[in-house]
Amino acid sequence: MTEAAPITNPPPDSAAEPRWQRLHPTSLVFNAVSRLWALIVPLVLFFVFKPGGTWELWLGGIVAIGMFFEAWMYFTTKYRLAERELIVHRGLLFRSERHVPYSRIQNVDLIQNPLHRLFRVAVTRIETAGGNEPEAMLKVLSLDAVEAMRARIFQRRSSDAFASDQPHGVTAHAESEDATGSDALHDTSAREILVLSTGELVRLGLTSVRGFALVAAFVALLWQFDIFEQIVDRFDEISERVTEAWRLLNGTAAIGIWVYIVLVVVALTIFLLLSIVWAILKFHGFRLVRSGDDLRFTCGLLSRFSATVPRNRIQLISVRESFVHRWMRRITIRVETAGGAGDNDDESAHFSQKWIMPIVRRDAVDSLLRELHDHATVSHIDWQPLARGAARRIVKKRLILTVVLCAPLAFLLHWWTFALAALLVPLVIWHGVLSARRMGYAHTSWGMIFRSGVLIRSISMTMFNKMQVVTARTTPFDRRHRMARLFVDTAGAGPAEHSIAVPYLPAETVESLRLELSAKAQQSRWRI
Amino acid sequence: MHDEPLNQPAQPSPSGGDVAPRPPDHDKVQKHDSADSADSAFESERSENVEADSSQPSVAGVSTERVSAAALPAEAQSVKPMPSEGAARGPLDVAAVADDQLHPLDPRFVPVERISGLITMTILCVPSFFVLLVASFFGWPSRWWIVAGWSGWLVITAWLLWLTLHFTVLSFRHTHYRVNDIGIEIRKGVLWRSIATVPRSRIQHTDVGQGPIQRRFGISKLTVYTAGTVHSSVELSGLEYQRALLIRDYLISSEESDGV
Repeated sequence: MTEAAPITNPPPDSAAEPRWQRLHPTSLVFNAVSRLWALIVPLVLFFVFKPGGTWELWLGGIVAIGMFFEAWMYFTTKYRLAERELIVHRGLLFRSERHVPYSRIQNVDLIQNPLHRLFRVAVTRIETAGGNEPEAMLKVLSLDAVEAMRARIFQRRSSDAFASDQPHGVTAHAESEDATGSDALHDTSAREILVLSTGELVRLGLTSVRGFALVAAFVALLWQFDIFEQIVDRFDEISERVTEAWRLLNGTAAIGIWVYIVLVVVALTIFLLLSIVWAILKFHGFRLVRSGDDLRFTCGLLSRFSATVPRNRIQLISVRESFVHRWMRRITIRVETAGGAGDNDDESAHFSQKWIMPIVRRDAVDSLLRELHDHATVSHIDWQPLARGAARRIVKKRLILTVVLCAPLAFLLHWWTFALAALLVPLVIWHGVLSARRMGYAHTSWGMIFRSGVLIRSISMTMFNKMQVVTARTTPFDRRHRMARLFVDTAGAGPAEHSIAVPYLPAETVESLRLELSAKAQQSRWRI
Repeated sequence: MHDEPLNQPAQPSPSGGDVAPRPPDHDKVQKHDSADSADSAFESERSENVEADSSQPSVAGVSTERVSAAALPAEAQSVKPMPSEGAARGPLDVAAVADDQLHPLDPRFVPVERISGLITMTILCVPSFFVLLVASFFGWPSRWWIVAGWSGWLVITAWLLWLTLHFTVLSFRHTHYRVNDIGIEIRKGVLWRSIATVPRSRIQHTDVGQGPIQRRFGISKLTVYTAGTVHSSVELSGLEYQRALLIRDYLISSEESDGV
């Protein structure tokens, strides 16, 4: 890529115009199977109950229509890797021809279930920046075809970027890459960045949010068993029962409590094990390689997932460290790329973004971040604090919130409320002060970094050329304290994830930051 | 309804006091005066020059000047529009809208908002008034319900009336925009205020839209779309139509050079 394009005006590729290609023949089978799977309930019902009459005909008809439709789809779907775009052609009666320019393609993801792997095929998902759903979904392509497509898309795109002033300056070099890049995962230029051993996967299972989600599910389950009602009921009796606590512990009621405790412990263990199993299933054989400016990873025990994330498409880098992480000296790195935003239902949509580096050693984090962006780092950052008085405001706000939320409890707990307050208030103050101290931003030569969180610490960073809208906000309270908050919007800043939103800054700081960041954003070019 | 735009003396009142919004044609007149014969061949070059000129002070010595503007948005808009060297073609030049000054909305924003507010009010309050009337005539479901209903109706109507008559003025007074070499800056909000800066090179596309009432009054809404997530679109309602078109043209004029 680094060689200058020698040919200024090459003849258009039309001589070597790529032909239309079909999906892999096994798509017929896979699509038929998934179609049958959709009809599984009526089919099972049919074979269980065996109703007479015309049922067989109806069901057979539906299945036949489904099969016919799938076959039709297979024989009418074709794609072509044209000069500068991918063209997907669908349909015979209602035709659609979608043109996806290579320069717009964000990532190419592959999903392979075990059967797909047996036949060496994969579901291919091609994403662009806009829209919630993948731009093109090709079910299924042979791995060779996928690799050819990948090589074509990414080589072509980077040569576009390289020779953007020469629209037809695609060099012969790119062509040769096409040939050799057929199995780029084992390419000589590809460099291994991160490989996860089973031990790491166990740690990943322990740190995954999934574990906490399961605990939450467990709490919900307890709720079903009315245990909380019992606990609340008992609060009234506790004062009476304190004197006979010993007898209770040895009596029948105590056995009930112990049973619950044992249940909790067993359930927690099961859920932790489940989390570990989930991590192993999902991330077995995790391998992240960098070839040129593309990051590629593959993982999965049964269903294999593989994705390509071009480095220059990374909009936001987020480093997350929960207390479990800290205990194991590990860290999770996530990236946001534009595309597939909002499609939260589909697990695999955000897969490549969420899990680009699911668990890495704390001491390796800087070298790994550098693989994502040349300047990205989490150490030696000149953190700027919040405005003076920010801690007081945070504490005050949280105390008010605590009082409002806990006020109804006073009717339930009576004088125990004071005990609760004596417990909660110092906690709230401590947490508020710590979180104010922990929050900070840094304005570097290449972008903006923001950190926050006490128990779960996050550091997010974005580059000037990825900033979209810079916003300064004030509430009436902010203005009274001469503070403001700064928000830097990026493409693909998932609403639920950590983003660059710095509260409680001095108003003048926010104003100068806003001007400076937006000026630098304007000066830099944004290529998604 | 038709009298409103003609009712010019009523116009300055919304902004009140020191704000004193210019009549909508003020800028237009100024720029028309400063217009010289523009050669369309040099059009693009000149607009670039204007950008470069304004960029120097804004990048180097930004902070002090604009921070004070931020602290006192009301005063800031009294600054004179447009340096005259920005050559104009027609009444308003595309590059001329990028004057790096804080502008208030077109004052016709207030009557338009009031009219649409009153329409909403009518739709909400009149039918409920008659429902309450019928209910109190038949004494159904009970006296207390009727009393509660009427007081609720009064409170809501008064609130809506306040929103329509007074809040529109407040929001007019607190909405400003600035177009400069960076892009567009939009200041909004009465209690919860925000200043959003959209760099020009990040703008994906723009819309200029007009509702029926807005069309009658000659104002419009400019919507700027970016690839951002939270601010995927930034709206500015209450711009004079021609001006909105020019701002749009200015904002998207740089897009082809970005090659996204």
